Amino acid sequence: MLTCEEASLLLSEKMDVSLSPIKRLLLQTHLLMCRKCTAVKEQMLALRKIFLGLDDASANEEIKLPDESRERIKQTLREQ
Amino acid sequence: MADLNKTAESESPLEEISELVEEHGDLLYRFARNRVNSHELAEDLVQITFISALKDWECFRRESSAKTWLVSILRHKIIDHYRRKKPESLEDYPDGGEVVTQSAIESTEMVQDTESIRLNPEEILEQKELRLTLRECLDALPERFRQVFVMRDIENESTETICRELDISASNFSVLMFRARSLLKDCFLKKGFPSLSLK
Repeated sequence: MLTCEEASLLLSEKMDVSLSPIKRLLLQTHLLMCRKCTAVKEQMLALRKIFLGLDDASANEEIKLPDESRERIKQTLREQ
Repeated sequence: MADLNKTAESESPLEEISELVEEHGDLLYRFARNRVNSHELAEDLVQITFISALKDWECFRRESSAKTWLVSILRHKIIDHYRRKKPESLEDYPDGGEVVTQSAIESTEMVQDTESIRLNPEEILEQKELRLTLRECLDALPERFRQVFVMRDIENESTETICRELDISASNFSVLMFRARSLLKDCFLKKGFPSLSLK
């Protein structure tokens, strides 16, 4: 029987690698009985979806190289 | 515009690279800033990228776009940065994961006790304020966690590639990812997103 901590670790692991049949069975059994870990699973999947979209340039237009940084870089290039 | 496909004859490498700083500086900085925790480090990495580009200018075959070429250089510089920091290990986090795990579970309890608006991932990404909160949570991650997390959950790299590039074991990777996800989830929930939903 898994603890919630062990189940959370397996939930995360399952997002990256294929779990062994025994780990899958243990996790599924735990999730059937545990609302908390079912919520954790939903949150982890939601976060993953959010962050996969974060690198999209259109979602980050507010982040710009400051003008002074740009000038520093160009000055350093001139000194090379 | 520093169009690398043009038949360039007049501009010096320095002039062309300087134009690329104007053209792609923001994009490279965003790329770096997503992957490291400070503005200063992100600026340094972008600067090193342009210096490398200047040195390798003659080798650039112009078969790919300048953007692709520069991002590729920057990506390697970031990986080099994290490899140099390798001595930082799981042992540097004295809670051994217990605090993180416990807080993750407590956050879940908080979620279940709260009847609140449920935001889906698309809605979150559409809102600037919420994106900034995401970034604050990302910035709060210890660097090692952040790098592994970014490669996996933002760049969607395979586990094998990440372990190889960062020279870490698969079990170490799993623990780092679990802790990173738990910390982010916890941060996200504490900063006013009481409920996350895929629906």
